[in-house]
Amino acid sequence: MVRQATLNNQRKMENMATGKKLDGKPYAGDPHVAPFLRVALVAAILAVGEAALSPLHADTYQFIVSGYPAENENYAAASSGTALVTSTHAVPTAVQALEARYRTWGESDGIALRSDKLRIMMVVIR
Amino acid sequence: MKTQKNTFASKKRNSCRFLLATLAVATSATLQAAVPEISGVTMAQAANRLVTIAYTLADAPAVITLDVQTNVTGDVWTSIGGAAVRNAMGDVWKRVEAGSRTITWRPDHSWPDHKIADGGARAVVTAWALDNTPDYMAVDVSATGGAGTQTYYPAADFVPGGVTNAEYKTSVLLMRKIMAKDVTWTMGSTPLETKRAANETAHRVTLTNNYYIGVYEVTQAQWGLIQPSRLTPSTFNNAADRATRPVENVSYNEIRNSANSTDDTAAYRWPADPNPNSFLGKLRTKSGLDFDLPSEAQWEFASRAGNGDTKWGDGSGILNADSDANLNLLGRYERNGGKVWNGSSYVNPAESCGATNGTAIVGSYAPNAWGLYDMQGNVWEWCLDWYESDITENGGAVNIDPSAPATALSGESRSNRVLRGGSWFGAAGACRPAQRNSNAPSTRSYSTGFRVLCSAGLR
Repeated sequence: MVRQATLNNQRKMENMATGKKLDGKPYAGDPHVAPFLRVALVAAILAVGEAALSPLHADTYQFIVSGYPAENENYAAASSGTALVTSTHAVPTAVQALEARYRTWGESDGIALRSDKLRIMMVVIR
Repeated sequence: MKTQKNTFASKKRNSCRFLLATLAVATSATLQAAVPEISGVTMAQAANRLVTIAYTLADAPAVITLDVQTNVTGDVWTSIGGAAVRNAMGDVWKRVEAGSRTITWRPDHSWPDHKIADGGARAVVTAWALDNTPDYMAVDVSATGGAGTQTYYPAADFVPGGVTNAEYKTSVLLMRKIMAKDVTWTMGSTPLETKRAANETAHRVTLTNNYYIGVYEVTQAQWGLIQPSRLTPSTFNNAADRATRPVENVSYNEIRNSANSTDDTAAYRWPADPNPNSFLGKLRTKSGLDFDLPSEAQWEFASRAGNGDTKWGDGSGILNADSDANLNLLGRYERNGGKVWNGSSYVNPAESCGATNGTAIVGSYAPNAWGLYDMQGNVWEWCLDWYESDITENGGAVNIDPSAPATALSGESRSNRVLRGGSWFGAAGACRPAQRNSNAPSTRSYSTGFRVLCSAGLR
């Protein structure tokens, strides 16, 4: 409910910016106050369920699958096939071991993470 | 006497032990100094969605990269993809000195509308030793001076804006690491290949080091940023699109050996460093990196991208010496816009033509299997080597970095430098990965440009 109200407010602000009201008609405006002063936008984080970043329901979403870390992709291609005529190749494991020796990594603990838009509350000053 | 002898022997043994121990410590120290260690990686998110990743880098400076992974598909951690984390800032994507370091990331900007349950997201911070830096390197040639103009990315999807971003065709050189170290492969072609020539004899080559090579040919905009005193050297300089077309009409000598002229200055010939006032000399000063032209072998290895005889660099077959349907997708040549059909033959386009004729905007066609664009067609590319018709050099034995041997082989004149890759001017057969061409190093031609190379790893 709160979210819907916020969305409505966002939409109202956008409509005002474009000179149209929610119903699509031109915004009449107040002759005594410049349009951009009519609305003071106060972005406030809604504390409930936000600040703590407690465990959240994992919504359905899409994510991009990356091959990272890519292990010697060039090498793999060079040694993958039959395409190279009469060539012999270095032992892949030796090259991969060399790679690993010169690259180290560390992992953090798992956390909850959210990247949805911050909800904002608008105060309209008339 | 016996005691004295034993004492002497004992001292000698102790001395040897000390020497060995010293060597062991020194060796260990050397190895440790070369291998950076990452520890103490933490990841936290503030209420405003800002994510802070802290880590400790020990033992050596390193190039740092970041990945964010989730385990929402089960116990398997999966990257959310480079595009989602490449806006991370701070001590990442560059050389970082040892110490406690911090990265900040705005997932709400680059990876919006995701909610990951507790324990479901983690940061992976990778430290790359300075002699094994990540797969992509971007060098800002518009920046003023010195090392530190480079950023690094572990895969194509991490490159800001994507590898086809116009930035990499104008103000930034994007370089791709080629894993060539100790790989033995076949250079040249066999008689099975269409339109092959006698100077392409197939032979085995082993390259001894990895290297970075330009994802694109050097463009007119990039040339102008390095050599403003000869701002517009190219023939195809239509103002509407010249910035992202390859620079052409530049000689080998002005790229490497002379100060903006076609003169050959012997003192700067490879393996000496380039003339400081040449294109490569200025690029070296600007970047702090050892930029050069690729050797012929380095060029062909990168062009083949793991594909051998009778294949283009994307793995498709070489079909026809004149007009090749597979090459149509890979690069600009005579029959797909390079020249103009006048009803009876293919003729040169007007020098003022747009990029639909003559040279194409770099990256207009598909890349080869290793993500390099225009390795076939567009412009011939200068290589480091003197041209010698006998490519096998050592009678067919495996060659090690066969670039400009110390003395000319019998019967070789050493008057020309190698050109590779074909151009807008030629038919399909001239664009084959094995095709060899050459020209005098003082020559400027509207069909000849270049791409750059540097060693893999910071110096």
